[in-house]
Amino acid sequence: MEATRPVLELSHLTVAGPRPGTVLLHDISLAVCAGEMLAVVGESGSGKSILALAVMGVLPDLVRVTGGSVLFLGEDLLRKSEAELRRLRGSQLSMILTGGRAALNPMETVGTQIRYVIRSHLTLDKDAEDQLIIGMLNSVGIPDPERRAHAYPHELSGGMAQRILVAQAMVCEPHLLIADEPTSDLDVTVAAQVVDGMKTLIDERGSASILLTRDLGIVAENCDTVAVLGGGELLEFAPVESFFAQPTHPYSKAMVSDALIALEHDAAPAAPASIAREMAEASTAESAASGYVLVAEGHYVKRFDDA
Amino acid sequence: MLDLLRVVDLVKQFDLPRTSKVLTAVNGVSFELGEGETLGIVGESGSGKTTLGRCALRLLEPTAGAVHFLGKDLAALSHSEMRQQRAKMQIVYQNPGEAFDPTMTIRGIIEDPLKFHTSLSRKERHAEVQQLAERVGLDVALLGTRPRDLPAGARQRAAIARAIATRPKLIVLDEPTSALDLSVRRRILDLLIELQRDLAISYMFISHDLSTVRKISHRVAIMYLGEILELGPTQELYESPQHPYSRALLLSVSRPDPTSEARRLPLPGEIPSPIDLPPGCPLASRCPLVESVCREERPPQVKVGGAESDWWAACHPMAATPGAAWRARLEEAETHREVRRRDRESMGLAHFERLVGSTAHHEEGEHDG
Repeated sequence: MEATRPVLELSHLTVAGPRPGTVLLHDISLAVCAGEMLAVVGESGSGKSILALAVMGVLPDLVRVTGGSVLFLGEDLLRKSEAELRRLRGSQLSMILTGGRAALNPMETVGTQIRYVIRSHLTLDKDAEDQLIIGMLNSVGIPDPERRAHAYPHELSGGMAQRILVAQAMVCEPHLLIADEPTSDLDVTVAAQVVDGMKTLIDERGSASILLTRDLGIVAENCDTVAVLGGGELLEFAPVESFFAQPTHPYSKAMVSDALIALEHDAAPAAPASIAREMAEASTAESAASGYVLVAEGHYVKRFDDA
Repeated sequence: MLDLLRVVDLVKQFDLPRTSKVLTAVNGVSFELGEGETLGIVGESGSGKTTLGRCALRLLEPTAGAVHFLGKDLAALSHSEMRQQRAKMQIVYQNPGEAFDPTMTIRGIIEDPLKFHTSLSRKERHAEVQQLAERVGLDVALLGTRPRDLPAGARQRAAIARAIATRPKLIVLDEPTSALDLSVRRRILDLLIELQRDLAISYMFISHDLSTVRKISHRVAIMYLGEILELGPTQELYESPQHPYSRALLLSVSRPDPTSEARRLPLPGEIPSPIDLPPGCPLASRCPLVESVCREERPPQVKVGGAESDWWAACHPMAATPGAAWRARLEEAETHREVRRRDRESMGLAHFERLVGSTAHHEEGEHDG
């Protein structure tokens, strides 16, 4: 069976930091297809946000891509001009920033802020814009959307502000949505509602999506594939069931067992030591050019020393 | 078990400036805390848990109700008596980076309470600080540095060292691990558990993070809009929450297990404003099981599992429905989401080998032994 063409495909992406010799992302390869939700997990400082910013082409000053490619629908974003990128961003390629209300402009109503996105990419008359805005607010679960469209960010709760960001990112039906810790500031009941709403919207539009998070529970419940970043490297890339059944890289194992221990007293970490050992043997047996080993169907792990 | 702390019908209100409105942060809370026990206080933002913690230490004066610490009514103590008591009651905040004086060294920060509460000489104090640092696993080489030079986990260790310096009986821990990565969080929790075992300290552990509270607490109180809606032994309550709010809260936590289906007890909307509280149950505006009585009268405390039980929930419909039928009603209100499975060809993984070049295949039977 012919594999579906990915929406986003990173190949050997390397990003260097401001000081000479600092590498923020090293040789990252990843792909995500339409309708698929990819989780990028890792602790703070692992390079998750840099990855997202590199894809969006909005890296901070002095941080730059030094190698690899970022193919979006088959075209390399790294070769596009700023004007071309601006046309893509917000329409075909969207990002939800972490921080909820802080990511909104406090001086404009939320309806206006969604309208700016529409006007940058679509040509609609005002009534059609209004309809689209209210429809979006409705579909992300904002009660009384006609009135809320005229609210300023400070009049909204954190959960509402986060929903506005989802509406804003999804209004032009992007092919790819990147969400950076969309729930880290929210209470659990609200976070669950926001994620459920975002997931429904993404499924309806068939967009590809990347969720950057530290919350493995949200990953298990929503995502199709998991990529583990640690120290700027891709350590493991796996289907979600396989990842949780046998996290294999020591860093992934520690993360999964921390999440399980956090949840209950008696949970045994799902860490099949034998696989790690076998894998280490496999890696010494075949020192191929690539640094990854296949441990189960579709489940790739970066080689490591099983010390 | 001796009750170290007894909080009775505690109310804390704040008058809002330039209006006649009142914000009720804590609305009639009662509980006891035993010696060497941890009570987890769980609630979402705005539930009043931090205000409750501060009132328990008399860092805020309660509007009504009483706090008894070691049998004494704290409100009746004079300023100097209260000051003596403070050595026995400490607090650790979420962001020690902000709670510390940035110009002081870590040594000075840990030493400070010893200056106030002991008559140790400077030399003795420094020896004591050294011991405290070792006790909490803080590298003594860091004592000469300033808070900003420490990673978050080490700062929290310093805050704990400062808190135990005066040999307290009670420590209020206000979201002490919320800002930390999971691996660091686990080590700090292990430290707290170890200190409690060795020093018989009681903890009031305030957090919005249900999994952290589960790990450390003997009993847990679920707060919402200034009230405790359910209080009971941690393990049992987590396994079988009785109040609709507790149930909704616990079902919202996603499990790191993709084979479990997503179950929810939906609570539409968000926590209401604590200004001019309506009468009745605080959850009435969002509860899927709401009845008319819920909007009018405050809910009664219903014992779970017999009259002698130390587990209760405050809920009208629950009071009217016997045990097994109540569980069925709760489950009826739940929603389920189907687990969707994708085939491998439609996922990005199918392209990985092409992207990285060749991959070493590890297949069964290939490497025996």
